[in-house]
Amino acid sequence: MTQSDEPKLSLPVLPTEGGELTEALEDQEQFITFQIGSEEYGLDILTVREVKAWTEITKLPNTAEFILGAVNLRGIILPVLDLRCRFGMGNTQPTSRHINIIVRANDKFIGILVDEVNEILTLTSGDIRPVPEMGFTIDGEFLTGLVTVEDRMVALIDVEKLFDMNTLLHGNAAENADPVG
Amino acid sequence: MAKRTRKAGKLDKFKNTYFTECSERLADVESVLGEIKKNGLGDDEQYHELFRSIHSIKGGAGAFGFDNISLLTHSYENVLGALRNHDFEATGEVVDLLIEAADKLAEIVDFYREGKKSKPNAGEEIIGKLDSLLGEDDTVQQIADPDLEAEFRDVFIRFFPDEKLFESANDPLFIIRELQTYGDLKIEIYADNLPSIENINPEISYLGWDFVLQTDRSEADIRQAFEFVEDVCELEISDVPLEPIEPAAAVDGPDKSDQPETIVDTGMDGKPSPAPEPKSTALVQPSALIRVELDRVDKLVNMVGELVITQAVLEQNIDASQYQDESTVRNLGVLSSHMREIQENVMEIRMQPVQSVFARMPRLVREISRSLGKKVKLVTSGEATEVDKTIIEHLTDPLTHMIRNAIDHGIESPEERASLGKPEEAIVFLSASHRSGQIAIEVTDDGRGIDTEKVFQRAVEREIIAPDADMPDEAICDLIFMPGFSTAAEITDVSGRGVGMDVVRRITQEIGGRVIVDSTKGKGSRFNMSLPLTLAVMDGMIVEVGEERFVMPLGCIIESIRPTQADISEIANKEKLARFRDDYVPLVFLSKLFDIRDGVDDPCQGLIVFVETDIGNVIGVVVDDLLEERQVVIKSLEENFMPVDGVSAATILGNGRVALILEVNGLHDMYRKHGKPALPHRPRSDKPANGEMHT
Repeated sequence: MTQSDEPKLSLPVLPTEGGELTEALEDQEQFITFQIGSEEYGLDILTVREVKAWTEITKLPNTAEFILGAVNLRGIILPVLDLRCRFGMGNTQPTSRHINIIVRANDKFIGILVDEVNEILTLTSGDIRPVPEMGFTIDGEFLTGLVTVEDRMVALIDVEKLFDMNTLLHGNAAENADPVG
Repeated sequence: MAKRTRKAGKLDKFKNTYFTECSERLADVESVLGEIKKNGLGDDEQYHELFRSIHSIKGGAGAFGFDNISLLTHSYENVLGALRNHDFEATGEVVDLLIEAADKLAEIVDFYREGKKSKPNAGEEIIGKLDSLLGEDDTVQQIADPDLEAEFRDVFIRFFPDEKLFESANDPLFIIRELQTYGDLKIEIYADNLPSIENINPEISYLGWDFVLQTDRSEADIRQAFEFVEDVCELEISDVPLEPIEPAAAVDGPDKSDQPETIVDTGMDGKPSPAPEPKSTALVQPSALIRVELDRVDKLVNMVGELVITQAVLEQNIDASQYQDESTVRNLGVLSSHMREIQENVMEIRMQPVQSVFARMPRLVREISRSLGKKVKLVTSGEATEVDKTIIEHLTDPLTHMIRNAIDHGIESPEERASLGKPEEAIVFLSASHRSGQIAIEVTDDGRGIDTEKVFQRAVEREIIAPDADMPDEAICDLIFMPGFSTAAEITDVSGRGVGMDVVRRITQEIGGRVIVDSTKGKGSRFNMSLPLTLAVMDGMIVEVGEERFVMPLGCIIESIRPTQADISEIANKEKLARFRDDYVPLVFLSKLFDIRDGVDDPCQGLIVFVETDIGNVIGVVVDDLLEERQVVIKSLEENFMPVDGVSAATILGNGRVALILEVNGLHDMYRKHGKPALPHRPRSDKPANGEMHT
């Protein structure tokens, strides 16, 4: 926990476990926000392990479309997900300017490909608005709440739910219906 | 409060260590008893070994207050002591009783392990039986040693525990009390190292003792009292008085009293007379074995893995650079061979014989066959086969299930066997062996075999397959591994708790292995499980398909060819076959299975790698090119993801990129399913089965 109150995005030192940071801030929570196209999302900073520039990826054959492949993070192999594709907004064509946010969810490390990382938000629970029922592509249950930052809406993502392996597998079967070869 | 929690945590850690040790010891006991049972009367060495194991279980039990363990082990020890003493013969009955008692002990240990309070009467009956072997009053009698008849004499003991004594959950007071039961004990305490009260750290042991023990016990007996602290103390046992320790040696003040403070004086003349040897450590026996936390070994394994990768990067860089003078290249070669050696040595640390798992099976077989009224003999072979500890840890459950299944469903009742002209006693054969870089484990029984009709019907009832499914027998047998095949509807005591063979398959797959069953009706069935030897490294061939690179395990490659048109034939449904020696084998295109663009379509423009599956099927895998042969570090995909068909794991190549390690059996399965109508499985949405993703 070398972190002071201003985390630098480029450093792989974001805290993962509660500890001093949360205690110091009492009921405040911090979120890291990022951009996918014109939409803005937030992730609980405690789930974020590292923010990295995009690197070459190895495809994982016959997996869901939103699984881009696997990368090596200092000896650990982890999958990278195209969040745009996961939310049904089309496929990302990754370039060196894209960002890979490494999160820890359900005891697994997973990379999320996003367009760019914006800022760190410090919120109290009162700032977070409930998610209304939604009928469109993104499944409301992946979100924990909505917040307004200046005049923008940021959707807070529940990583544990989003990256639940059963969900992934389910998505896998449903979206990867085209036969091999 | 926080402190107390930490303490409890520590105690739990010690308990866990103790339970682990119990399991190991019990496994030893089990296997020694097995040998004795097989070969008739045991020898002294064997009884000694049993004694040591039981004694060690007893020791920990005392420390943790596991009374029921203490009671049983105490009686057990007495019987073993008497056997060692040849007070009576180890007849078959006695050995059976010992086996039964060991089973009971294991049961009681499990009780405590699971944190339940053991029933107060647990083991009483068996204790009674054990004690009755010895005649009356033997329960309180201490164990006599072979070199008994020793006269009463003074034994001088010097006991200086290390500072860390308490970390191993030992308390010198227990030892002192134990010594007091051996005879008159005079104790002198050395408290020179004791700091002033405000500086005392209660977790450090500061004291040392000299004892004078008037006893008829042998030195070995006395040493046994110190058995649990041997590694964490200085211990001298002598028939001559030991030289007093000069406090000056430990503390700077030369004026300190050089007489140790006498706490207990039993009236004996304890005046120490000078001995020629100064403080000696010679009596602390060096051990050929050390206990190391697995975590430390794992760190080392990981680090070596990183080194291998770094070395690969370095090699690749130098290959591509100008610096290729003779000395660099040669030294790189040396580095590489040293790396390999380090790696092998490090891996060996984690290797263990499968014995530790096999040793638990006789008890299982006894219990199950007893409860089912069947006569079963377990024959094992290949116990010495070594395999990585992680794999060992994953073996128990699958083996248990397979053996249960064999006895419950495979083996007939003795009457039925007799009527079939089979020997009443059935045989379950459990074997382990190394086979082409893998470990093969087989469970074979000579029972009735798998009734494919019944299995088919059951699978239809359970909605695993459609009633009109057309399946070969082989595929039907395989259905027993499907989740939900065995269900709560027909729970027997033994198998069928709604979990069963699907657990075997799942666990096996999780550790990169594979399990299949084949069966002959009326003759028996054979479960064939193959597992990687280690989860850490493997020799592989890097192959290229399009822009992707894969690692093909070297162990399964038979040969590779650059085919000509003459080697390839095509049959009706455009299935391509290749000539392999005298046979035709199917061609499997990685580019098709894995949907890779730019891979070669025409085998003649690429290469065919002939590989063999576990069950001896050969397939020709079509790749664009073979790049190099090298050792790769196996990295789990499942750790952060999930299994991928045809892929056992991943590795990191010299350029830092991830490459997938191919799994030949999986490729073969994919090939068989691909192109044919999908297997008539109705996908169960709640329980996605591995390996069904692409159907």
